Amino acid sequence: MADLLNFDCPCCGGKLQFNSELQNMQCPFCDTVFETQTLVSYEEEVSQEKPDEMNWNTQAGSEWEEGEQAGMNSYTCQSCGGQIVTDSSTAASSCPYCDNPVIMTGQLSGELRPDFVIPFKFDKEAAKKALNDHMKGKKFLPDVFKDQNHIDEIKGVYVPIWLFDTDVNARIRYKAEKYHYWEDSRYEYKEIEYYALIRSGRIGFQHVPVDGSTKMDDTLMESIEPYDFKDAVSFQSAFLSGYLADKYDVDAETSISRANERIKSSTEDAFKSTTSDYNYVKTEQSSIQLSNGEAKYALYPVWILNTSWNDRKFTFAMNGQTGKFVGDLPADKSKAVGYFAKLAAVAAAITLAGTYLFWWL
Amino acid sequence: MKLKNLIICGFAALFALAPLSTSAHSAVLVDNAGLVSSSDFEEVDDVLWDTSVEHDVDIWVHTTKSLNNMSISNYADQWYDECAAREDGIVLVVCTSPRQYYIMTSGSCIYAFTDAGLDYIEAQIVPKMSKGNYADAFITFAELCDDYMVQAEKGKPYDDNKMPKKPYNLLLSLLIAIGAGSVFGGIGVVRQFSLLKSVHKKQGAADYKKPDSFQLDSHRDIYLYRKVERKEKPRDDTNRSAGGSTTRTGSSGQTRGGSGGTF
Ligand SMILES: [Zn+2]
Ligand SMILES: [Zn+2]
Repeated sequence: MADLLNFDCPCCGGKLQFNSELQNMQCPFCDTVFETQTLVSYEEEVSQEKPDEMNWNTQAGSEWEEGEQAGMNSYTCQSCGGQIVTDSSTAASSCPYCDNPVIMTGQLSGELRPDFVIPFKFDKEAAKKALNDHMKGKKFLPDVFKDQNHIDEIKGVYVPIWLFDTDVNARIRYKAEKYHYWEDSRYEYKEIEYYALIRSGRIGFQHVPVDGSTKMDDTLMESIEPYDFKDAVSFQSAFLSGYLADKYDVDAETSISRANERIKSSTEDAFKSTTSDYNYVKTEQSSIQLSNGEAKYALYPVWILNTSWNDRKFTFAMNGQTGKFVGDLPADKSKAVGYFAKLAAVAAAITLAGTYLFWWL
Repeated sequence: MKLKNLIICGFAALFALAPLSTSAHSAVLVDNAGLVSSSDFEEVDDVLWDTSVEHDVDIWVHTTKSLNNMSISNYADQWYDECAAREDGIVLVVCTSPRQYYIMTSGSCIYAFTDAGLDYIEAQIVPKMSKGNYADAFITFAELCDDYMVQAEKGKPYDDNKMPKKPYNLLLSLLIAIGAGSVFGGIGVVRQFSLLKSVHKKQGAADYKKPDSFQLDSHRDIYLYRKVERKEKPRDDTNRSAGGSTTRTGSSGQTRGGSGGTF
């Protein structure tokens, strides 16, 4: 009996007390009554929960082969400090991230060699067309964004990406609710049954990408996902011809936390799909163990264009493999006001005519 | 009083049956309470008379200072029995002490003036009477009687499903139009703004799940506790009549319709 007095209320977390009248445990804070056996099972499950263990082998990238770096030039942006690389046949003049001039700082040296590259599938013309399509139908867009000379500045950049592969063992506890409804002549009733659901099992993820460049906005990079790894090939410097490549400045170790976040979220979602008998399900606790976790270094193709408007920078990005185009756009307030006035006037006129017709009929 | 009424009624009846003429007729506005000024009297009386002649029904307005200890409906019945020239007719009785009015219908007018129709007439004239604009109220009454009779002669008296047209309310319509315009414009602007946003953080890594790697090894569902919430049902009292006219038996045995109240 003494043992039972140490149960916490699964409902509100308060210390439960034994109610001798009900011969059951009751919470003095929320008045909920529990079967003793329920609490034993619940405590048994909760006691098995372990903290996450998300360990990775981050030995990504490889050493450059002899002479390979000789064919590549390194440039530094005078303004944002970004470092870009291209092969010696391609001249870089301005920074893809801030449009300021770059200067050659010599040959590439000392960096990790990427393991994989997904080559560009969409060329510059396709990127320009996608950009024009992206701006179509957007009535509030300031005119400067439609300037074709500026659109010509769009650049193809290989963005450094850390790829994470892992197998996951997960044990997740969900709080679930099941509803029943009925009614009598006076009242409508809703019964809520509360459950603790425990699910454990396995799932695997491969090539979860994390942006390895501080110059490339992480959210923008995630917005043009997904990339399909089936097109990835072993890195060859020849792929850089005609394009710029960014060098990673966030290492694999630092990128892990974002990969873990995404893997944990999708693992919880996957197991949640086995709880469809319930009306409401919420993750209460999850513990995740990773095995065979390893990182790889890859270059992913992105078309980038920067536009300045009212002292703010707007960046468009297109997935160079799938053509997916994104980029938040600003609204020209005077255009918005004009559009509102036009729409409101038309709607008001139609409504007025409608009320008159309704009256007349 | 009764005797005086009888005399007036007698004359009225005599004239009503006499060759129809709008220029010389007895009064169908019997203003014993003196509610209509002498300058307005003729106009009100003429409108009532013309409508009466046009539709071949008695249309009266009778005002009195007292009900002689009768209910206003009995008073109206009795007065109509004594004075009316035709079985078909309608009379508006207005009493100043107590301040009551009653519209009594008889014969074919029972069907021309349905309960809903009378409600509408009352809604139009009571505010005017309350403000003391009796001449205006009585002219409105006559005009509505004309409208109702025209409608009844077409075989479709005004009722629940079809009521007279209220005047077009331009101000209200404009307000509705401005409201609708703003809502519509607002929706359009919000939609256009939402088109400008396309950058979103990814929630998970669902795109990178290994095919067929998901495997559920064990599952357990533990029932914890239950709660019952209850909510009182809204009471619905929708016992509305299905149109038509309510009738009663008048003081002398005839079927009568009507409706009244205070003003
Ligand atoms: Zn509790
Ligand atoms: Zn730069």
